[in-house]
Amino acid sequence: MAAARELSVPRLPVERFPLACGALLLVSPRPGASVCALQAHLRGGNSLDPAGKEGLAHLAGRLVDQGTKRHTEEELAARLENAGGSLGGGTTGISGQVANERWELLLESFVECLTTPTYPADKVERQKQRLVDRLLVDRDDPRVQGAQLFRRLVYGEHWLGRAEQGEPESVAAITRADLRRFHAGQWCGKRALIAFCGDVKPAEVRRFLDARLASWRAGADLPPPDLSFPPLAPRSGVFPAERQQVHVFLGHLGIRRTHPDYAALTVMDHVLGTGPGFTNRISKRLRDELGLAYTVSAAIHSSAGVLPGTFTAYIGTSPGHLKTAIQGFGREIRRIQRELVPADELELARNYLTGSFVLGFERAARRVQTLISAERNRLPDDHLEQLLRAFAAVSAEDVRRVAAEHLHPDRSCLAVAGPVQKREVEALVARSRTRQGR
Amino acid sequence: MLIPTGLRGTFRRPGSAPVLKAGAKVAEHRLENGMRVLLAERHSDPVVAVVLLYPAGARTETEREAGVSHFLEHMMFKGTRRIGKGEVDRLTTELGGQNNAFTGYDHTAYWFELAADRWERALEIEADRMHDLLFDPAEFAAERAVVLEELAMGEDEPWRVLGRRVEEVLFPHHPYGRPIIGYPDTLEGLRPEDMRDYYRRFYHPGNATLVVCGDMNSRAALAAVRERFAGIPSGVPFVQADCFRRALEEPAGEKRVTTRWDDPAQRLIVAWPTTKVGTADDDVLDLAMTVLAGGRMSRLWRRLVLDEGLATSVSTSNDSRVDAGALWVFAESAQGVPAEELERVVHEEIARLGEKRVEREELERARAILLAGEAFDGETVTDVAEDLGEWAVDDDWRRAFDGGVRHAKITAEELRQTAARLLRPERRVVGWCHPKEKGEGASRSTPARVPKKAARRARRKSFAAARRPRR
Repeated sequence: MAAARELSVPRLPVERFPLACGALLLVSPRPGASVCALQAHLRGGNSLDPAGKEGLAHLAGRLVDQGTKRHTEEELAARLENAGGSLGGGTTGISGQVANERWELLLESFVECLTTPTYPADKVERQKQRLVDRLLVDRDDPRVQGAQLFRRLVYGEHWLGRAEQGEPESVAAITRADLRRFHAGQWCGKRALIAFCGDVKPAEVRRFLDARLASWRAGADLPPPDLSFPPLAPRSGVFPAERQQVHVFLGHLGIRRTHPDYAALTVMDHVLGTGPGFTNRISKRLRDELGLAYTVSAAIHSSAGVLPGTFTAYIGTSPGHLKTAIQGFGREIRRIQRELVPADELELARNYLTGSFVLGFERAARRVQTLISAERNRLPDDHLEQLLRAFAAVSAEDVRRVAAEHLHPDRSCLAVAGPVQKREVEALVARSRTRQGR
Repeated sequence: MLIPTGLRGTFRRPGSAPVLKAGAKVAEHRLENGMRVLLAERHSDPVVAVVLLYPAGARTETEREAGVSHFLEHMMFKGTRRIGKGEVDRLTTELGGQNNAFTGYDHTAYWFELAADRWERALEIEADRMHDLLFDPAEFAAERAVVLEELAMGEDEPWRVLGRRVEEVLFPHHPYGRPIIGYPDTLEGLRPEDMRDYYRRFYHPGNATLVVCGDMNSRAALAAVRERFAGIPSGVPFVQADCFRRALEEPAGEKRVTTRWDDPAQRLIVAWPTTKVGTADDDVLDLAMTVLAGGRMSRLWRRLVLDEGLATSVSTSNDSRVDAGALWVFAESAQGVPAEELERVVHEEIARLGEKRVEREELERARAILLAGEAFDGETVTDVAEDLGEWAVDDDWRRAFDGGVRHAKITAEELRQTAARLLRPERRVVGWCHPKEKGEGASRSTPARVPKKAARRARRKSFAAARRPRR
């Protein structure tokens, strides 16, 4: 019903400035914006957590706004909150936003938190305790544990298989000295990407940050990442818990963002398990036709990053539907591997991806996220245009090829959390393997 | 507002000139069949949002119908005679857009977000399903299974279960005390014909508010709206003072509820019945809520989380609705902290709010946070359209994005007096979710059955689980 349209690409102008401290600054001017946003990404994150102190990168980031050389936590909070702004740290850096006219205040606070956090002892202890308490509660949450179990099955001993925030025991072992050492060693100019979006002149932002970050340590580049992952093989695990629903995670190691099949896999995902509403096969079959679940999805492209993501099929359903749900996933995965996607279904997915591209760029925070992601993955300046063209060019044969190449239902990991027995899941896995062999 | 000559007589003259909201030029129109149309023109991005709202929600359901509004919202994607099952999603996807819907206590809303060159297709879909929805029995049964799964999902969330128990006590004998999603037995008891009756009662132009916001031309948009909707006959507008709702009673003393969960967390909810949306008290409670838990300098956050380490998290919500509202405080205690200690400090801080005026700086900070929140809420056209629509249906759209002005006029003494009057101990409901004790049975909370009532919130300012998104 829809007429052919021109491809509409969101305008995301950006100016790049290498700063004297070694950081790279990306500024996207947005005339008339009422809100400005920034994000600083520090390469490394929890890959740098030492064994036994998992959660260190997360805690080091969370505490950057709780006291600096010039201001206490209270002073920092008061200064920004009085202007209605916010700023917070995490595992891989800092993000914040404020009404546009206060952009300098946001950057001022950001620079302090980025370069001179002091990790006051009382704040460290309080934050540690909060995190430990949260992790103890999460230990009984089947949804959290199911997702974590799945990551462990897929990534094994690789750091991507660990919980980003650590475990209660590893967090408890972290000291103030660890935090200070981590910040001093790992948060440095050469590892920093800073993106800013607002109604500003890019050169002004550069001047502002270059002056204030001039004495920030450049540090060393990050060593090459560990790319050793467990081989693809069926592995399963169960987190038993008395609940109304079971959470099922099925899948395996995925792709990197720069993989040449990324666009074709994105189209495949939209046909298989992420197209909006019930336009994707898995939602249509498992939710709409069988009524098995409220939440169901499958995707490989959305987790693709600098390192491989995962192909994950998820459903939250009643325990009695477990077998039907797993079989349903398997059936749809195999179908997309064997059969060419009909022209209308393919066109629908491509139309959505090309047409919806312009949506979602209204928020300044989303714009800075996009800039950071593109830079981390070393995508070219015209990557949005390229991707749009690539979506439009994906053929039915491309979809079948990438599905056959990148989806491995017979070598998938299966994590189930909820009211279910381990032997029940093992039996399901064995049955599914037998069926696959036919 | 000038009405184009060719349309004169088709639309009633709106009551006021366009008003600027979140950078959008907003004007109200009304079709002759009674449908209200809000056009909000803003050209910052090539995107248009279309939101259609009906004043149907938990509040407009009888006890036997509990959950029908939300279930109907699901069925609105199951096809009409003209647009088949799944076609709403297929058409939206083909257009590269997004759609969704949500049900609250006081209204149900359907939204589309589309690129500016194709947004009018949303009007065709909405006009069609406003009057011609199918209630195919097989589809009805399949979707009921999905809703029951959604309900089961909620039963696995300890905050949601506790919130429902508190709300049940907060609003006895009123639909606000029932969950938006309903109960297993009311859902199982619903027949397609019951839902069709409900649909006819609420889904017609006389009850509908349509908001179009974004990169469009108001004049052309108005013509497009007229073309699709003007021919749909109006039904009988829903009368606000409907007969089946009993008046809310003034609480006669503190009430307490307790649930158990098999994790180590101790979760606390303290809630008070408060005020209707859009009242002077509502604005004051926005400020009170922010003074208490808005940002890291807020009273409860500072004292409970940062200074005394009694809680791992704390938040508040001013949950004003059409018939009444609630002020909520949520806190999760730190491990090893006695429940009574956390509760005592919460009560102390609430009492302090009613005893002593907040300092000028504290008041200014709360105002700044609320004002900045309006700027953040105004970043996307969908947020602007939703806000305008929800305010329009529940109260008056002119109040959307105007909080800054109203909050600036509130004095510290007004805040103190309001807190002293509404947040008295004898008006509160205290809910605790404690860890299960050893040896306690493995059986979990089972979904409540009628006439046991439960519930959650509704408005935009409230806690997130309140409105029930379709997906």
